[in-house]
Amino acid sequence: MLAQKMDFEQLARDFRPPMLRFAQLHLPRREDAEDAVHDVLTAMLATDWSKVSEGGIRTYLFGILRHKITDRLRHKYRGEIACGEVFEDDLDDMLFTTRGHWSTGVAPGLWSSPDGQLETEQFFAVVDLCVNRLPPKPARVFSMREFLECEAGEICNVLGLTQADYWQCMSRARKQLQLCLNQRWFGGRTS
Amino acid sequence: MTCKEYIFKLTSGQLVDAGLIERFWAGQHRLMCRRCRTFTTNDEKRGKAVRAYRAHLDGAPKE
Repeated sequence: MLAQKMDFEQLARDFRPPMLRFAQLHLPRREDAEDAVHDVLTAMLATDWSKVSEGGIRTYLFGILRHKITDRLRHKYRGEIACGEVFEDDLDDMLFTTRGHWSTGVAPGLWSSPDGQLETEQFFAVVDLCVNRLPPKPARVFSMREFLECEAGEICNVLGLTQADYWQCMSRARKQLQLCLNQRWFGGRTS
Repeated sequence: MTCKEYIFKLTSGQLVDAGLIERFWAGQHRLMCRRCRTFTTNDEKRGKAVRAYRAHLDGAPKE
């Protein structure tokens, strides 16, 4: 049985660093991220491990972590976010003309890196940089969608957003990410 | 549909749940606009990269 051979100290040593790194993506204050990971480690002690397969430990622990992060986001940010009104430097004004067409020299060129290059440590470092440069509010919505794999309805519910706010946040985040990756990894070519 | 409208529908995620008619007009716009076509192709790569990054963060096997 998995429960009989479980070494909790070793598990905590193995999983605490990646869980903390993941939590810090979503919870800006390190104390909050550490608390979320601490909750997971505490829950680990009370887990009935006979129901968890050896290969499923990581999935199980990160599953709990996602819930702990979502709970914290729910309490912390409910009703605070409205993305449509937070962008005084509206990205769209830079990207598009008043008639809604691309402005000259800003549309990213076609990315041509081989797929393998997009799974290297160097590329992940650039993704990390670009994600961390997003404005805080779109970043929170984007990370819940893409990293916590929450559904749109759940994100709106947790953060107290309307559907329109959610769309604004996701759009802003994805546009800015493409521009950032284009600039920092794909050579900044425009079309 | 303008480029700005198309890009908003794409990046907000609205196109995924859009009806047939809206997706048809989005497809028409893509056919006519090279920049939006390029942005769409890049966005697919961006999505793939973010998924790989997520897997990297939680140590899960790559998709």
